Amino acid sequence: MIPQYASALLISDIHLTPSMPLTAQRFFDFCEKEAPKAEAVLILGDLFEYWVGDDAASNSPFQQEVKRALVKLSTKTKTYYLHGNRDFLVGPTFLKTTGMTLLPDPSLIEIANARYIITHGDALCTADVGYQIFRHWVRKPWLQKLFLQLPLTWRRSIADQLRSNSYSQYQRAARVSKQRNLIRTNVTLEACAELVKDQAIAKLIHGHTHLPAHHHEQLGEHTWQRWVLSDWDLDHPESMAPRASALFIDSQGVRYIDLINS
Amino acid sequence: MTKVLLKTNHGDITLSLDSVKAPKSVANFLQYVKSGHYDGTIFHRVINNFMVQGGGMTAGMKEKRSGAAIENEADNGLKNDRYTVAMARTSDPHSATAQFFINVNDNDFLNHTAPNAQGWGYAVFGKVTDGMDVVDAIRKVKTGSSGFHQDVPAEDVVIEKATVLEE
Repeated sequence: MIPQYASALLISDIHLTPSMPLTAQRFFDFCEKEAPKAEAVLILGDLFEYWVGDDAASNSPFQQEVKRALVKLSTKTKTYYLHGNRDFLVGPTFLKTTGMTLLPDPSLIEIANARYIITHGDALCTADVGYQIFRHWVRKPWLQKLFLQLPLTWRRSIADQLRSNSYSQYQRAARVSKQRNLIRTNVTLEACAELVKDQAIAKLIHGHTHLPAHHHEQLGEHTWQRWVLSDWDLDHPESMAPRASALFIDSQGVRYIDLINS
Repeated sequence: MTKVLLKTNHGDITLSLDSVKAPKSVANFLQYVKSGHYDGTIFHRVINNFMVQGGGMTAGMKEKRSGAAIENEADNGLKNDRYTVAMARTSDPHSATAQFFINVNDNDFLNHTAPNAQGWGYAVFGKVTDGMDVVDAIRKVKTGSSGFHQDVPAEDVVIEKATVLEE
């Protein structure tokens, strides 16, 4: 059963963390202001900068504020969530308290009578062999179960180490992305083609790469459209242009909504 | 009113500086103007709907030596509204030296909200009172990447001469 809506807003890669308060505030404002305009809000992963278990910091003021925003959001619009590469440990406890519905990655959704494939996007970065091996292992339920049984301090320190690694990669990606020469951390045509090959009308939406754009692509006999969601960052204006946007879909089509200049 | 003229290769920009609300930033800026520091520097970071930043690099993206960092006066009540001028800095709130930027949008998120690293904001110390059209021309120039820097104008936007008009 494919979920069907007349309109939807899609976001991803907000990277919520107490150390990025302006970005978090924009998300809270989004939940109040823009989100209720759509029948459904789809969060395609990396809502959080990191997640080491539903029990971690569940009572911190920041987590409380996030929870309040998500709970309120779920009363105004149907809220879906896909795991990202940073918050794939968001579990049933958190989903239940916030009223979000978890969708498998990838999933199909029908918006305004058109079908879209939605995915976080990290699984499409098949040129990054090292990452795909890492992903293969960390997505194993038994390993996740083991990890979640570790003391919180251990989990945090493991997450910190992984994050410092991926953060330096992210910075590098941001820096050279405009030269379009960093193929390794972008999605591959082969992976996209594999995903769309069974769909009559192929429309793919993902986040993860922080390279928002609308693409028309082709590989062999397959053609598809691909929309990439923007990451959000209002907290590093000294080095990065502030950015936050959402993809809005209704009967008028698909378009980006700029959340900085609005 | 303290006024500074920036003669650029796109035209003249007049800045009116608020030495009452931002005394340290204005004194610092004037000192760089008088010493000729800004002459020949470029607007090296241009983001159309955000801001244009300059005063620290010369043509070819060479960083120019600057003086000591100053205290951040972002808590002075001045807002980062369109056509205001503010001190640029690193992620450390109190790290501004010579580089400044002109807001080309109402950038509320740059305003002071709290006395900590995340909320300190960016110190506005004046505004453009003449040559808004020049600022608009600069913000629309074509940009690309240069070395480690993004949003660098493809053709240099040069501050040919900075002079104090009134003090």
